[in-house]
Amino acid sequence: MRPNRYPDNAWAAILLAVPFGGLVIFYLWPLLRTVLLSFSEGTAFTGYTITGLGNWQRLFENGDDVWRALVNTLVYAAIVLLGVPIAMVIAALLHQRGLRGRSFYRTLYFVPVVTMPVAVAMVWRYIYNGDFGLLNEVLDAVGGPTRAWVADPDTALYAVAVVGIWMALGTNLIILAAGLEAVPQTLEEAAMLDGAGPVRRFLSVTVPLLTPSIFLVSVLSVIGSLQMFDLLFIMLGRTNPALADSKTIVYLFYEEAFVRNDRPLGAVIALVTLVVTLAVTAVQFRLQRRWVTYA
Amino acid sequence: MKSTNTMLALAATAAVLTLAACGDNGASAGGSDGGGGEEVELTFATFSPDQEPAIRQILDVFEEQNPGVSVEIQIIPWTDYWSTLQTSTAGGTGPDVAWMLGAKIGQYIDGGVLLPLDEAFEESGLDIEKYPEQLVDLFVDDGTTYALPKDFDTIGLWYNKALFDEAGVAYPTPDWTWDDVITAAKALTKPDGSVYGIGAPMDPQATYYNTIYQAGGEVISEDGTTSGYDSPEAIEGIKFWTDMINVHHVSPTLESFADTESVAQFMSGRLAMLTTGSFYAIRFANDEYSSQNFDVTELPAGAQEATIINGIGNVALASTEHPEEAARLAVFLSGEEASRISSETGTVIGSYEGTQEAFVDAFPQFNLQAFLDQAENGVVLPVSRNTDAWASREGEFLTPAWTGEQSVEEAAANLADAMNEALAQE
Repeated sequence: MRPNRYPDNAWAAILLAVPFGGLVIFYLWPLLRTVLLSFSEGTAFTGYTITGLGNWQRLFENGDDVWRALVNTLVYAAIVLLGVPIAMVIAALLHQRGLRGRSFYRTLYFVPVVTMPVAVAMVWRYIYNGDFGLLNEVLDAVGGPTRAWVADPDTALYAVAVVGIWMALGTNLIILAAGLEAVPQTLEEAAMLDGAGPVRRFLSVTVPLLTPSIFLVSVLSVIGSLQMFDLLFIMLGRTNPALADSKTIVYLFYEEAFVRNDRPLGAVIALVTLVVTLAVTAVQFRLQRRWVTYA
Repeated sequence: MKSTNTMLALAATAAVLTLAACGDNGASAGGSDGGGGEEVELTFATFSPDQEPAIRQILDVFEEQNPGVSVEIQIIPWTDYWSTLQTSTAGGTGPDVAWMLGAKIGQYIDGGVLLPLDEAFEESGLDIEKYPEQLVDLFVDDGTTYALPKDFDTIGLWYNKALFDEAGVAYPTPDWTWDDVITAAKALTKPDGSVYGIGAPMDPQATYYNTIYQAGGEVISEDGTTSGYDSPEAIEGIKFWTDMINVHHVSPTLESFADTESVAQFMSGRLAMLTTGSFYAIRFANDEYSSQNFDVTELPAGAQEATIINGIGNVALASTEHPEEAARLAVFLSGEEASRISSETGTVIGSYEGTQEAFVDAFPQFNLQAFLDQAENGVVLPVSRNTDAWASREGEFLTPAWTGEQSVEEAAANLADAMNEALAQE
């Protein structure tokens, strides 16, 4: 026993050091630099010197932009979260016994995940186009309301969120499908013998047993949504009249840090994003006690 | 021993030169004047893949004239160009020579990261008088030259002849005024919305900067310290465009331009007129419909004639290991030879006097002479030390004026406040 234990520990330490080293170099060190930068002033050429709370003050003095961006981000995250029940229903349908072409459908739903967000955004831009868009053509044919979906401040954020739901669907489906595999057939059969219909079985048996997967998917979905930038950047463009009302917090970060070259203020916004993400995730973990069943 | 080393060095140099010669079709074969025998490699950063063929051609000539010096092109896409250049330059790992814009150079001069080019320019034998004066001034600070314009662009009134013929309206002429444009635009607009008389996108360089100066206003004060947006002339210049949408209804809305950019709408035959730059000539020429139907003339006059003129410069970075060669390359890339190659290939209008006619001849289907004729009324694209700090807010504050939610007076006043605040921090 004794001679074996020591080499094991050494190996464990060596193998752990590799990812830990990566964590320090690529995560903790940049994080520390970001914190320092947020208290600094200067430009890339003159170098940055720590001066105090000036950047934080600036952020909260011109707080309107930040608040609006925070609200937009949370609204976006909430809408994309609606994609989770949608993914559940589709996962359950794909899980039905005897379904033909199961892998075809799974591939179909997974395609958006492996497609570049830029390409997805470009295609949806055409769909949403106010003058020649596919969506307006269809709505026009059935007498529905047409508009410039991503150029109208009233709809732009929601239109982008729909794409967000669609893009996240594939990942959500994979995780939920794996969760479904773990639901014991026997319970379903018992419920069936008790006379429960498919909907009742789904709601009373499948969903409660699936809650750990649902929880995981929800947390990942919210974290991803809080960092949304690429869809907005490409689908709206810089002279879009809806932009001012649709900016997310990461978009604001991009503008300050890379368009206006105000890296210290960008650092402040990045840290605010981090804190908000941590807080929202903490709330989710706190709430899970009320609804997640660990069998 | 010494002679052996020299022999080896020479042999190595010769070998490398031969290899280099193979690489560019023997353009730099020879290399016989031997130079110092030291191999110098320079990196040149640009953001335009479109111009790469012309640049390569120019570099071949440079390499031929400077044996032992080879230049590698590094293309960084526009979206990453400025952040990459800034961080790599600040970190000392940047390129030796790079493209620069008037709007960006202030930060680099303040940071002390650029090499003065005065000496290299004197040696080159080029004549400073042969460059457009306004553009030269963009890159000069305190009497020191940090870049020379390699090209320039001006804005013209492009129009679709087929749509003018269809509506029975006479083509625009250089004598047109603002009122002529409005009258024609009304006649060209079809009530069913399939054709609009003119495009009025919110594009500073292509639209409202021009009319602000035509109205006698200014975007930024001469000394670069205060905003000109709250003057009645600037407001008039902006109104010219917002009225096209909200009063005359002869242009698609800002929403429409957000969905489909103005140039794409123009090329699809939805707009009869569009004011935009000489830099689109090459794109229009390569499109069959545009090539057949488009032509261009000078911008209409307001209270006075004006067009926005802009150009790209070449800077040498102070972090280079070969300052002498880098400075020589930066000057060469903006020199007469480079200018001629740019023009002849129709890539851009070369900046050096006497080389520009070649650009006009490159696409005879368009009256490109209009862009050259206007250069004398050129107002250089407005800049300050930190242009991005206020230029990035223009769109944000002017949007409500374009959509009609706010009066131009109100929007312009708000923009002037924000701009003055940003300028005060410079």
